[in-house]
Amino acid sequence: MAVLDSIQFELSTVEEQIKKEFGFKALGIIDITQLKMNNLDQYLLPAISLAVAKTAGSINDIVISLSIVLQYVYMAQYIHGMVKDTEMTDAQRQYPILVGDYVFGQSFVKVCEEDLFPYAKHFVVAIKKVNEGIVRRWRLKNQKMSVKDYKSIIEKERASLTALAARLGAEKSNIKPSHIDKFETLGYNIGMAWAASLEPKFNYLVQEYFSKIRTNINDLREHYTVKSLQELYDFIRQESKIEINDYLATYRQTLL
Amino acid sequence: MNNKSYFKEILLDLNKVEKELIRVLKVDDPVLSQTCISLLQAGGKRMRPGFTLLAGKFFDYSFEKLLPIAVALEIIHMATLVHDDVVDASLTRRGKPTLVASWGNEISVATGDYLLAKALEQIIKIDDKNLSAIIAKVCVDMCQGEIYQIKYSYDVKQNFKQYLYRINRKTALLFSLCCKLGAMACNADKRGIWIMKTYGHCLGIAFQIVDDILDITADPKILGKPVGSDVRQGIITLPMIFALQDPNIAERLSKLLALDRKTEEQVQEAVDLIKQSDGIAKSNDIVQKYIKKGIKNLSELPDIPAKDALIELAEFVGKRTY
Repeated sequence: MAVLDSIQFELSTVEEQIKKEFGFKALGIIDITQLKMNNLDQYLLPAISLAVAKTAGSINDIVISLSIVLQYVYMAQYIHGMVKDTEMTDAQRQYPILVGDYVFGQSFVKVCEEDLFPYAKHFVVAIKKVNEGIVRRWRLKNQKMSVKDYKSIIEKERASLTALAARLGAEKSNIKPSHIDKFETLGYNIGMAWAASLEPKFNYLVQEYFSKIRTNINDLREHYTVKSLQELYDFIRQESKIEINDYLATYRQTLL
Repeated sequence: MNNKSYFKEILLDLNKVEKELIRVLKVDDPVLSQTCISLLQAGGKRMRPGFTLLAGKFFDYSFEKLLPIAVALEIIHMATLVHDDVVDASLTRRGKPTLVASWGNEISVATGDYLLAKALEQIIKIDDKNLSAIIAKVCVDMCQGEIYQIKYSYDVKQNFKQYLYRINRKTALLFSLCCKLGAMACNADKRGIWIMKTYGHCLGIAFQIVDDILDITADPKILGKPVGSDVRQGIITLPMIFALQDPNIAERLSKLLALDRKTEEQVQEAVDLIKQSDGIAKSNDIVQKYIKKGIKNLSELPDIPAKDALIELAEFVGKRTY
C-alpha cells in the first residue's frame, strides 16, 4: 500500500504473519470461503494501530501483535458475515461459520501466547459490541432506519474495533496518557466513515466523519508529527471512493 | 440423564454453576437476551461443568477456582451447538426448535459469537494464561475437527483412524479438557492430570460413538430429532464404516451414503442396511473398550464418592438411549 508509506514495513510484517499463522491452505479450504476482502478490509485496522504508534515515534512488537489480533477478530466477523438468512448452498453456509470460528480461536491463541493477555478484555468487549450491532441491524432491517439508529449500529459494528485499534496503538506507545482518548476518537471517526462509505443511503455521513477525522488530525498536529495519520486519511479517502469536497484537497496542503 | 443421581456429589455446586450461567448470560440487547434465555431453557445436561467439578474432587477442591472454568466450558459448548445447528441446518434439538429454526442463520451466528465472547470473559477471570491458552488451543482444534468433517462428508472411503481423528477433535477434546482443567485448577500432580484427561478423552470418544449409533437406532421421540441425520448430511460414522465392510451390503450402502441429495426413502434404506449389518454391534464393542479404558486408571485415585460418580457416568454413556 504505497499510500501508507510510513508504516509499509510493519504493515507487510502483519500481512506476512497472518498468512503464515493461519493459512487456509492448511485447512484446504481457501477456495471455498471465497474471501473478497478489499484493501480497507485487509489493511485498515492494523494500519490504524500502526499509524497511531508511529505517530508516537516507533512501532514495537506488541503493537504489531495487537494489530494481528485485531485483524483476526475483524476477519472472523467478516467471514461469519457471509452467512445470511437467504437461500444458501451447504458449502456457502457451512464453511464460513467453521472458518470464522477457527479464526476467532486463533485470535485468542495469539492473545494467550504472545503476552497480550492483559488486553484480552478489550477484545472481548469489542466482539460483544460488534455482535450487538449485527443483531440491532437485523432487528431494524424491515423498518425505516433513522440516522440515529444507523449511527448506533455502525458504532458497534465497526467503530468499536477501529477505536480499539487506535487506543491500543496509543497505549502501547509513548503517547501521553492525556492524549490517548484523542487517538481513540480518531479511530472511532475512521470506523464511522468506513462503515458509512459502504452504504449508499448514508454516504453523506462520510463527509461528516471525514471532517471530524481532519479535525482530530489537526488537533494532534500540535503535539505530534502526523504524517502517518495523514497517510491513513488519504488511504481511506482513496479506497472509500467517496468524493470528498474539493476544499479538503487545499486543506490537506495546509496540514503538510 | 438424571443429573441428581450422577452428580449428587456436586449437586449444590452444579446448581451454583447454573445460577452463574444465568447471571453471565443476562444481556441487555433484547434479541440476544431471548436467544440466550432459550438456550439456557433448552435443557442441557450440564455434563461438562459436572465433569470439571468432579475432576477437582480428587485433589485440592476449590469451587471458586473451578466456577469460571465450568461456566466458560459450558458456554463454549453452547456456542458450538448453536453454530453446529446452523452448519447442519438442524431444526430441532432435544425435541425443541433450534435457534436457527426460530431466528435464522444471522442471529444464530451472532449469538454463537456473542457466547464465545462471554466464554472468553470467564476465561479471563481465571487469570491463568496457561489454562487460557489450553482452552484457546482446544477451541481451534475443535473447529478443525468440524471442518474436517464437512470436508470429508460423503466420502465413503473413510477409515476408523480418520473417524477417530475427527471425533476426537469434535467431541472428545472438550470432555478431556473439562476433566483436565478440573484437575489442574485443583493442584493435581502430573499423573492426576493425565488420569483425568484420559478419562475425559475416553468418555468423549465413547459418547460420540454412542451418539452416532443412536442416530441410526434411536426412537426419534426420545432422541429429540429425526434419525438418519448423519446419513442425510453425508457424515460417515463408525456404524457406517463397519457396515461398509460387509460384502453383502457394501456396494448398495456405499452408493446411498455417497449421494449428496437423498430422498427419505434412500435415507431409510441406508439406515436399514446399517441396522442389518454388524455395524452397530461392532461400534458398541468399541464404546465398551473406551469406557473400560477410561475407568481403568481411576483405580489409582482415592476411593471417594466422586470416583463412583465418574464410573457410573461412564457406564451410563455406554448404555444411554438419548
